[in-house]
Amino acid sequence: MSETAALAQPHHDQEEHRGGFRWTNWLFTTDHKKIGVIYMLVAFFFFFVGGALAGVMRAQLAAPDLHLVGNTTFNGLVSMHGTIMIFLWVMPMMSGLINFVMPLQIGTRDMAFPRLNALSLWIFVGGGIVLFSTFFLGMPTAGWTSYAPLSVNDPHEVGMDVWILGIEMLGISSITTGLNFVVTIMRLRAPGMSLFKMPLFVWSTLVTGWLLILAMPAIAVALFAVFTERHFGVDFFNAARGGDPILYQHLFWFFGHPEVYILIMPAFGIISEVIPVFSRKPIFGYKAMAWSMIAIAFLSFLVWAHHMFTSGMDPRLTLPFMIMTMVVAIPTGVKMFNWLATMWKGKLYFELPMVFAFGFLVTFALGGFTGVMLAIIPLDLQLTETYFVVGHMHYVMFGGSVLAIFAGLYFWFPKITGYKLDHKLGLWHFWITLIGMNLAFFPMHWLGLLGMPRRVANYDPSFAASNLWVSVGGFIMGLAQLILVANFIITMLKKQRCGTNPWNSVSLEWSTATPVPPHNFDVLPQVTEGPYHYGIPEEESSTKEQARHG
Amino acid sequence: MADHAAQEPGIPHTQLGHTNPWPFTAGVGLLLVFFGLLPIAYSNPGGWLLIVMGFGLFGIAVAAWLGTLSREDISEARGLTQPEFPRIAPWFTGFLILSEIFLFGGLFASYFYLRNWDYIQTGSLMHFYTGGGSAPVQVWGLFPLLNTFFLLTSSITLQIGEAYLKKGKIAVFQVLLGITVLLGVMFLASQVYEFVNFVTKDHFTLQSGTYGATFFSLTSLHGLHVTAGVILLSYLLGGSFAGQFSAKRHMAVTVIGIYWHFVDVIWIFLVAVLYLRLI
Repeated sequence: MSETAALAQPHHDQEEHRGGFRWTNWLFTTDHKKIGVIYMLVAFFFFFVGGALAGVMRAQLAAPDLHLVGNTTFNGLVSMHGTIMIFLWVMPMMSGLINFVMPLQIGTRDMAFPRLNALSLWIFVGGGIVLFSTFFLGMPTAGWTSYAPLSVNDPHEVGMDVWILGIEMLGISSITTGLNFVVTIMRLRAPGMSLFKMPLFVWSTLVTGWLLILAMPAIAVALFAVFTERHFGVDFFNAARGGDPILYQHLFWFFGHPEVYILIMPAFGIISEVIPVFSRKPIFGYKAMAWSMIAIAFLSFLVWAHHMFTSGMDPRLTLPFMIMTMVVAIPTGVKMFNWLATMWKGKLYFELPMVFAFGFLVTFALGGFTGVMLAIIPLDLQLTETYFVVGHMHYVMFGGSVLAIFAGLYFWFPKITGYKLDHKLGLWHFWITLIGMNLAFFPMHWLGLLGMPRRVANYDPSFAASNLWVSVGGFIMGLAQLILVANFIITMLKKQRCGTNPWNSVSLEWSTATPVPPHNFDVLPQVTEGPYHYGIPEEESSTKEQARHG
Repeated sequence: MADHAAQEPGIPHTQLGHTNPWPFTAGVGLLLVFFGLLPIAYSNPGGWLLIVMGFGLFGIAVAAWLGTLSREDISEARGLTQPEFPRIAPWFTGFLILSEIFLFGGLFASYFYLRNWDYIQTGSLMHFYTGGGSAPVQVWGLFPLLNTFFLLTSSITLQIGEAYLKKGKIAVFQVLLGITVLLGVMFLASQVYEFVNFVTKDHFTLQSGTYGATFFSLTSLHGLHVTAGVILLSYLLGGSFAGQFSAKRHMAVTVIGIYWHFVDVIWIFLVAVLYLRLI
């Protein structure tokens, strides 16, 4: 891609023609980069809101029989913690990274529909405002899953309605975002970039876009039904009047399971970008990586009922769903081994993104193993609705998605701002987060095996010791995120420029100037090679130079 | 890829504006609409005010948005716009329709699920169709037949109109497009009349058991899509009188046409499943 570098002459390297800060430049922007930054800032706000809710829950659960918050409030905290972390932290954070990076990686000027992109952003922010208003109007108490009839029973609970409306808005935003991603990738790639020359982060975006387009309508239907049943006497789920509450679970999980892959797929993409750069080797098994993502996305629509083994659904269906769920482990295993094989005999550079990628590999693998355990019907019958599921879920969500988000953030921060985040502070952030999260989430597994039920504000005194560990770990993990904030502030104040390509990466986003000019590329790049041609001798020597000096 | 003309390396970047106030305004409008649904759920008519304001704001924003789009379109001749539109619009429509299929699919699946559930409980295939009453509700009749005629004909007139547009016969296109819009409006009027009849004469409502719930959800959702289609077709009609379309520039007509045909196909499924109970 040396042609690329030659074509994109970076003569915008200074902070020029920004013309000072104006609110309208951000509120009315259609620039994918600014939209991406707004997504990330809003997501970080909600990350801390959701974290604070978890903090209150863990304070309540630090010892048995505490009465910090009442049972109803606790139910509200559980519901809003889950909702916020999924819909207002991981999804918009991924959306922000994709918005900023993906158009640069495929070498185009903007999204296919820049204005629709802006509309998606503001519908998302609107949905965030609606959901945030539940803190004033009363929190919903039916969990992030909001199963019928629990969500239908109390038609005077305003928070439930607000929650439904907020999620419907976020659903609309997600569908339009997904459409934009898919059309952009399918139609606006730089000349010469065939599908199998795309960086894997772009592949993961494409697959995520498909999942958004196909999965979101199901929850729109399910929540529409709940809303009408609550207020207009319409019968979908009321067993006394011919409805069936299990229908809600089918609709919800037809959305819900692809949803968890929506949360993890971009993480796969980020890790696939980070590992080759810091191993100085091409990704191992590029095509297998792309196809395994497609396979996971396809399977995600065929496994939803593994969430419902105890619901009373037709027992003849359970075995196929168990088998399909276990099959997901095959393409996921392909990815794990390919990441390891990429590092094998590579020259490893322990920069911050790579460190977080290591953390991801370990914790996500653990979360994946417990996932396969939960797929086994007889085990699931015992473990469902216990802390084992909470442990599994947090290992894949935090240990998977969130660690990958951090890896991506440390990786692309120099592209977004022009500054590298501080290495030492980053290492503190990594280690304290990793220790805290394992302290918090690992004991959950044996608590679950011992039978501690999830989503309950109190527990048997025999679980006290482990629960204290979970709470302590949770607070350590939460405080570690303040290091990240401090790192942002310090780095932004220090203003030490790091050049356009501090990691010596070969993918296209690093070939243009930093900060990126509004039109991204002065001249659109012509792609001739795949995205990961590392390991060329002359390039390696310059990498060493760079590593030594900077 | 031969259709990469717009993305040739070496062509300088387009002068696309990087700010536009209308997406933000439309977002605020939608926020008002959703907040307005809350008072309505609690039987407080004040919500309608919010909804009307929200939709008003949304409508103004989208109209202005489309206005900027067509201004750019006109200046295309000077090489100052986003020339990608014809390459990306059909893809957008295709994926949108895919999403819509899953939306209708969710409701169709609920319909079949609940019908089967009813059969398991009562052992009678017809019990579901009573909707909680004593005898199966008769939904097929003159109005669904008329509606089928309106929609199928409108698809044909639109398609022929587009063919004339591609030949450069704008006037014929405008007449046929006008007929299409009219047929869409007639469909909506006839559906409203049909619903009023259901409620007043047959006492068949949204509250009539699981059958009423799924029947009215599916048909109303389809009605909303027809409404959106009529608005889009009216926009095309207005645009054609403003001289925006020609034999060479017809992509907006093509993609909205595809969407209109899709709405038509959904109707055929509704007739087969809900009205004629063939499946």
